[in-house]
Amino acid sequence: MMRQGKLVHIAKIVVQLGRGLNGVFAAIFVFGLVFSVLKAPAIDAQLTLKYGPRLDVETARHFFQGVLLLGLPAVYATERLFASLRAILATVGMGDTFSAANAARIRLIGWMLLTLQLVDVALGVAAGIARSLRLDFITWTPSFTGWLAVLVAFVLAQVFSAGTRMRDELEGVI
Amino acid sequence: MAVRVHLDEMLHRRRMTLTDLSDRVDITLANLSVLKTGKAKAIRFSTLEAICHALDCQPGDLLTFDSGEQP
Repeated sequence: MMRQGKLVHIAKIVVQLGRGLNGVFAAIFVFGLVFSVLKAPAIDAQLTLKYGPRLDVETARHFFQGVLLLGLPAVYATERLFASLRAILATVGMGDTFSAANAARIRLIGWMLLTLQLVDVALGVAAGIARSLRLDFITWTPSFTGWLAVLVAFVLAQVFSAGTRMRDELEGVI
Repeated sequence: MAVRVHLDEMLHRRRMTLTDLSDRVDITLANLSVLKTGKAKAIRFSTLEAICHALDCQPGDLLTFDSGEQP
């Protein structure tokens, strides 16, 4: 029991740190987008300097803006995911985990993980575009564990729904 | 509910209180009260056995079915 309490405490700290880090990423994405719009000529100049005059700088800039835009649904999904996780951890502390609310939260986590996976796929497409534009970009590989996590979250949500129904049934049993 | 619980009458006949029964059958007063007032959704065989043992009665003395009442 003591170990479980410690684990919950650590999980709460990790969630809090994750939310903070996600907030930083959100700020970076928004700042990057605003900066790329306001300082477009300066960015174009930098891109020309790096890749040479043969690069279509406007397309390249739009590409990077698109990638920054992709970050927004990712940070939104991550925030919703962490908020749900924090709420679930709070119920663990109160000893009331099997509830309809937690089942809904886990389902929401599943949807948010799915959103993150779709963003990841979009990043894969972006990596392909970057290659065709001859731009330096991340090396993308499909995340199979991510898709597995989506599946696990939805299955767990079903398990929690069934558990809640069973507990409700048992409540009136003497 | 169509199934009626006659715990109150049984206790009265045996000059026992719900607290006495609670001590004897090791079931909380709150749960026995739920049973007595007919608010319980179900009763375990083990509970029924313990109450029958404590009150020296049959399950049929505690529970009756009223076919005229809607479930």
